Amino acid sequence: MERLWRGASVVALWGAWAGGAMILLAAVVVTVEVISRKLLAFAFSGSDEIAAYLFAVGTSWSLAHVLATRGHVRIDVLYGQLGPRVRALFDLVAIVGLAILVLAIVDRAGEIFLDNLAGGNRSNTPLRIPLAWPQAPWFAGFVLFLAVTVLAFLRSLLALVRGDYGTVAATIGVPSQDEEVKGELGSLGIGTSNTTANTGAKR
Amino acid sequence: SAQTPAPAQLDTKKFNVIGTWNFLNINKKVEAPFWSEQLGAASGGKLTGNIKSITELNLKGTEVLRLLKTGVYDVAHALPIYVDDGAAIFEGSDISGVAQSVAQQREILSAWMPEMQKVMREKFGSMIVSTFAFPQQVFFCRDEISSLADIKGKKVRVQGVSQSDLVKALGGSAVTIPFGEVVPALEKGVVDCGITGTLPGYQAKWPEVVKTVVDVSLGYTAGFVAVNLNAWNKLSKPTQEFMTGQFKKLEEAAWASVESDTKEGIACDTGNGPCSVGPAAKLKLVMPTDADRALVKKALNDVVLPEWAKRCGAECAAKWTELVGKRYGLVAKAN
Amino acid sequence: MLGTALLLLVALLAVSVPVAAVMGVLGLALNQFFSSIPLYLAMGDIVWNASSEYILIAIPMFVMLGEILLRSGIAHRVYAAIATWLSWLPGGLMHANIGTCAMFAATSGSSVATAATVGVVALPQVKIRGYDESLFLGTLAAGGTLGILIPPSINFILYGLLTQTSVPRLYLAGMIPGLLLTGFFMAIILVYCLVWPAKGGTPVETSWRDRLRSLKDLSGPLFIFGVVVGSIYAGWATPTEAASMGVFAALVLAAWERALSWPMIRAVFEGTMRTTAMIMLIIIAAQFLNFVLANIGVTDGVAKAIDALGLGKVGTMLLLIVFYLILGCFMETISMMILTTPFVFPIVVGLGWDPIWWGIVLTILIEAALVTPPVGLNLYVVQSLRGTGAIADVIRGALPFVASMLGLILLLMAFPDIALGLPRWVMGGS
Ligand code: NA
Ligand code: NA
Repeated sequence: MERLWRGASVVALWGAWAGGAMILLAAVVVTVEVISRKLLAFAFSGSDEIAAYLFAVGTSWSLAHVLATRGHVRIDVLYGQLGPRVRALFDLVAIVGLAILVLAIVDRAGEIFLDNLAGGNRSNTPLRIPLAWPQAPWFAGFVLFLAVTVLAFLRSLLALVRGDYGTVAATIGVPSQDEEVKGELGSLGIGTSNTTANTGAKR
Repeated sequence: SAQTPAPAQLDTKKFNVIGTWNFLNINKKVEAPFWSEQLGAASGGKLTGNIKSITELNLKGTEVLRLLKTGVYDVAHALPIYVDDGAAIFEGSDISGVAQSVAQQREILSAWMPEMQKVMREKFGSMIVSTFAFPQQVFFCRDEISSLADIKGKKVRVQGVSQSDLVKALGGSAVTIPFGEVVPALEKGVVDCGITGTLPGYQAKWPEVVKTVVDVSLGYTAGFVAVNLNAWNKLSKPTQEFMTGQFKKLEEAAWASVESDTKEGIACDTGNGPCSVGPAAKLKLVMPTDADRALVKKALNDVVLPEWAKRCGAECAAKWTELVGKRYGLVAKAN
Repeated sequence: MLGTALLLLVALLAVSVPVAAVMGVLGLALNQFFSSIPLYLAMGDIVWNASSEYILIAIPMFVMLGEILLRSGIAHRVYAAIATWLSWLPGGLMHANIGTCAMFAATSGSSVATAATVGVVALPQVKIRGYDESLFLGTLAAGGTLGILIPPSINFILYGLLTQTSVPRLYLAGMIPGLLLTGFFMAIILVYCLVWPAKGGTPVETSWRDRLRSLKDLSGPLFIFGVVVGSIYAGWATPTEAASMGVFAALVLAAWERALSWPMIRAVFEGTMRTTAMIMLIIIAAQFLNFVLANIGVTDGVAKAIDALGLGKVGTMLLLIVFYLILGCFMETISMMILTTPFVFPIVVGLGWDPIWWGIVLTILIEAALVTPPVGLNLYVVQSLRGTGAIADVIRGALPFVASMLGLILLLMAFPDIALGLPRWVMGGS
């Protein structure tokens, strides 16, 4: 279980990296269109559509990483007042709730992907891209998200049965405010101790 | 309608209906009153409709036919441009620049109907029961221009493939921008012109950011009302007959509205005539000349129709030429 | 039905189910119990539409833009530059906090990133110069909220999408209220430090030579502002395109600063996608919930219920403001906006308020939500940067600034042209 969970977390992180790369690529594609429209005699068009597909895929590939790093927003007004055991129960309810949503999305997203694949449907734009192309990786992202959700549920459930509330919290708990902000700032490259504040300053 | 079934013979049914955009006249004056009032009144309260516009549901349109097929809705007011594929066949009903009048657009729709019905039945498990269209599509440009020839070298915001081909054939470049961003894009010169309906353009406040409207018909965006066949087949014979009659009435009302909206749109854009929806704008009106019409026809035969023929296939193109094109001296054939 | 929906919503939120899942599960449940239509079947299309909505791409773009800027090391220099200009005022560097926040707000579409950027540079000064800690922390938490009012802004783009209003107009409309709020924040500091000089810390010595020399350090943010906002009004790009160009520009700037490296880029990617995917899941679920609510008639119902209260134009607006202040205590800001707009927007416009004007007021209410306890992300950001002490200090420090936000809203109610004047002057029309 532990190996599986660690492996899934690594895959999820790679998904997020790839997702970020897609967003950057989208930014470049759009910028090139804007510049070509302004400076060149012809307008090369369709970057909006390509960027939208990159956005869709990049986002769906990153969802699992958000889960693995406990980043999906939860309201912890009541949760914060509870003991570790009740918290662990809340956590399990929460992950089941999330699993219902993700399962529903996978079911329906899969249906439209297969429908577009079978029908060979194309986008109704000048590019006329077969919709199944962007939808295949987009759908795959949700499948990965579902897999990590189920793994997180199983890991927490096993831990709860053992009475290991720490592992439940570390897998699917609400990060304490302190943890949460440290994560947020850490990802921004900011240390949280005053004296080592570092924004990567040069010179 | 001599033998319209009496209300006593009718089933009791509430249709779940998805309409077009709630800010457009076709929805406000035709679809919504039909489903929420007229149908109930005509059937003695037995048949009613629960209509939601795609605006209220925050949908794009492209999903509407799948929602009809899966049975989420019983009836959909849809546009050919909603159809993702089989798209080329549906495009045949409103290729940019073909229809030069409301009557022609209606004629084209009925001539091309058998081909569309085939797709609707096979791909969407549905049947077309009524047609309509949106007001005539025209160029709105931020500069003062004097004829269609001036489109050359301009960046034009288009919707759909055949409009894009038409603009390219006229020497412009086609740009796709989401509808919500068109007004600022025109205002700031991101694009020079945009194509939309005469009245929808007024209602979306385009006249605030452009100087000219060119009253050369670039065609109409066609529309159709389709009903899910499962839902339809569950209705009793008298109910089906009754509904067929009602759909005819809906169609007449819709086309009358297209005609008056196209005229009123030009009036609202330019101040040439009465405008009931707000203060008229004062755009320069470019009236069509024979030269302009010839330009459109040349663009159609040289570029737009051959490109469409490529998408639709040789057989489909030949069919179109036979059913539609030859009435207007047009031939669809891939180069 | 409305009661059941509300009850279920509160129950799911109370057991801390993730906000996105709350909306999704609520949508599925309402469909199950209150709809004759199999709305669930529409979910695939709704998810795909939201996922591939071109206009929403501005969200990752602004997040990525902020991430790149943060790492290119210009934050310290900008802060130092602004400090040389403002720190002679009573309250010293606290004015620089607000000024730097406003400057970063002009490059960033996000409030959290703004507070974090400025906070990390400013905080060491509390102890060194002996400022009143609570007020100093408050300037950072509140100053950061300017990020979404001064253009560019994720909130304006989202609001534009939800309500079909023009984003360039919203940007222009946000500018003067944004500058006014900046001024109010500084005035509050000034008043506090004139009444209680001890709060103001030791004065900072600067010279005109320092000031002039510091100007070049402001060129980075000005360049980004030029790209992201200027390109729209120059007729180069739409707001969404401009956000993408901002990323490109920030990348060029970072390369210029020699701040690009693989670990840095990987961290930018991870940070961007963590925020983006989190927000997008909420948006996707909210779109489905809104679809269900519209179909089963809740959306109409709420509008009619509020109409039936008969409070009139001003009364209803005041009620809405109170409603958002309370909701803002508990709710994450993006979900608050997406979930309420379909109900509230038609009411507001129906009463005769201007859609652009309401976009500005709503954004200020969201700013307030960012610094009101218990759920106020900017409070946490500042508290965590500080590392020690009670969060109550930050909350106390931010309160006077919340008061000025409410003051600004009342001012906007009395003089809508504070927001609407600039867009009308620049772009014409209403
Ligand atoms: Na901003
Ligand atoms: Na709050």
